[in-house]
Amino acid sequence: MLPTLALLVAGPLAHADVVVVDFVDGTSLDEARVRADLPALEWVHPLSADESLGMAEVSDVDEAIARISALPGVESAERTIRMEALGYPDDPLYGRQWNLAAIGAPAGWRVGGGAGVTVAVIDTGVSRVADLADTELLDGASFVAGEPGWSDGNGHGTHVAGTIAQSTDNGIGVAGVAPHARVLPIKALSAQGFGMSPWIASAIDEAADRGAQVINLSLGGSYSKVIATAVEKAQDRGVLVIAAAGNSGREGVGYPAALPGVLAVSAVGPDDALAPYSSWGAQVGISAPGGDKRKTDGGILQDTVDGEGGHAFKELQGTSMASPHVAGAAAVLLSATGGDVARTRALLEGTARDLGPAGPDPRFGHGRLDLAAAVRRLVVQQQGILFGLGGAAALLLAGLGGTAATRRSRTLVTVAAGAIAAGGLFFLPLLPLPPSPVTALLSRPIALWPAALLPDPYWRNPLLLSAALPFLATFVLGPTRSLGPVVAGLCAGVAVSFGHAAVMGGLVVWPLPAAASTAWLALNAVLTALCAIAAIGVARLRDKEEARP
Amino acid sequence: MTWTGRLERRDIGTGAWVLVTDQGEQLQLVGPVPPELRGRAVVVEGATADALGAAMVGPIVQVKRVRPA
Repeated sequence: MLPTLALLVAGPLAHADVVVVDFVDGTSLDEARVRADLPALEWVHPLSADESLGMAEVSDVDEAIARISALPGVESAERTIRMEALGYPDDPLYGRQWNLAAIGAPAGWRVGGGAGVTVAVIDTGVSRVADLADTELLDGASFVAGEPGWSDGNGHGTHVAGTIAQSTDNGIGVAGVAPHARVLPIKALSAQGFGMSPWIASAIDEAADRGAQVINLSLGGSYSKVIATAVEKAQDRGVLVIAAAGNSGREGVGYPAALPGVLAVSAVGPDDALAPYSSWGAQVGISAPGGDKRKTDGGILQDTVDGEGGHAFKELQGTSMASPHVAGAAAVLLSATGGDVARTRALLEGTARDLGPAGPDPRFGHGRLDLAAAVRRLVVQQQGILFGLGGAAALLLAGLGGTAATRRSRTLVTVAAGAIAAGGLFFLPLLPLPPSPVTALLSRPIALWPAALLPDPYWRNPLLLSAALPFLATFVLGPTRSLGPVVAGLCAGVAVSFGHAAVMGGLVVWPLPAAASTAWLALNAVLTALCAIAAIGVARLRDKEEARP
Repeated sequence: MTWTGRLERRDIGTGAWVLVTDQGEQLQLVGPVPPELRGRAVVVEGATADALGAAMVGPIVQVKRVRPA
């Protein structure tokens, strides 16, 4: 029963009949097959040949692990754990990413995986390693003296970028938290892994100028005035700044993590205990998997440069690895909420799994990141309510249009259209379906569809966030017999979306100032509602005409 | 400046050299560090750097020379 349940919630599940064997590097496939007495053994992926990592089906996996582990030339043998729900994702090393299972990353993939959101990785640079092949890397920048390009000479920044947006379901290596987010690589740390404060401050300015909505700072040290100013300016522009708490293993959060408004991230291991190296203190806002290499496969596995011109899947640990989990989760939630920074932060903190003493505490902050819970809260509590409001508005509208028995089915159509327009098919991400751009789109309120299709902030332009499209739909499609009630419902739902955004805030029409944006949304909520009334009115007139003998 | 303490390698991020000073402070060493002195008592010559880093284990010292104590 349990495996079935695990399948339903799309959790990780032991794949009972496959053993993964890590041979000493340089072992050839033929040697490996003979040594392990597994003629059917294959490399996990062509790219794992360098690491001599193979897998094979066996009849008794426990027996095989015991037998093979003891052999010379074998570094480890273990059962593979894979995402079994409909085989997604197909990244062969995904089973070793306990960290993604822990935070519920698949839920984030089902709501679009951060599509449309730009995350700046201010680090040692980012190199396009094999498993970043499908990741959208923007043209980056470097502020490191003597290192003009933004490629990674250290391996830290590429690993961090991988946690955020590793190419996922691409048949190679591992997965990332927000594979559809855009990564803006900005180098501010040298190949030796350190950087001067003006480099980092300039990098933060550049990230904000280039439209980053999230900045990940897997770096730290002592207080710097220029960095504090740059962070404050970025935050004033609506950028969510996320930073690693530090690796001192002691109390005392480093800077910039300790700056006001920065979401400081401490690190936990696979057992959800605070990692021994993690700094902690009052400024910690949340914790996330950073790895604990004292445990087998306890590090965070991502693709990065190997220092010899190639790439390698490396397990690293540190609060540097924890921070990008939160940055990726933030990208997912920003995408799904249409760029609502306050709501994203509230979801991250409010749904974190409470660890340590009840309530926020200096070691874990609000708790360990739980993206699946954040997505659930977003879609059920928030979109679900909008779904209901949209349906109610459309029902009211249908009442205006008359509720004669002959029109009941059309009333139903109007109500359904209103509910779906306002709340989206919010329940889709809760189903164990493989993530797809189509279901991710359908799960959003219609007014937020452009957020998944166009880059921020351009999708938030005054034309798309206006009554223009509803008006066009009313004018063109409203008079048709079959689509009139649908258009009326859709307009009612979109009016609810605009009205909700005007009242609750969070959605800012670009490039308007906040007050003008609210007024614009309110005005267009009214105009869109008028479109809905017009559409239902036309439908009613049509019915009357048809009813004449 | 010089510091005395024990030279350690920390498995943090892509790895960092650390001097645990006799006073118990952790300093991250950047620059030429002889790996064979790992675990040994050493004297570090260098200068504190107004820098931040990926390792975040403590204040950064730009190393001129590390020698056995």
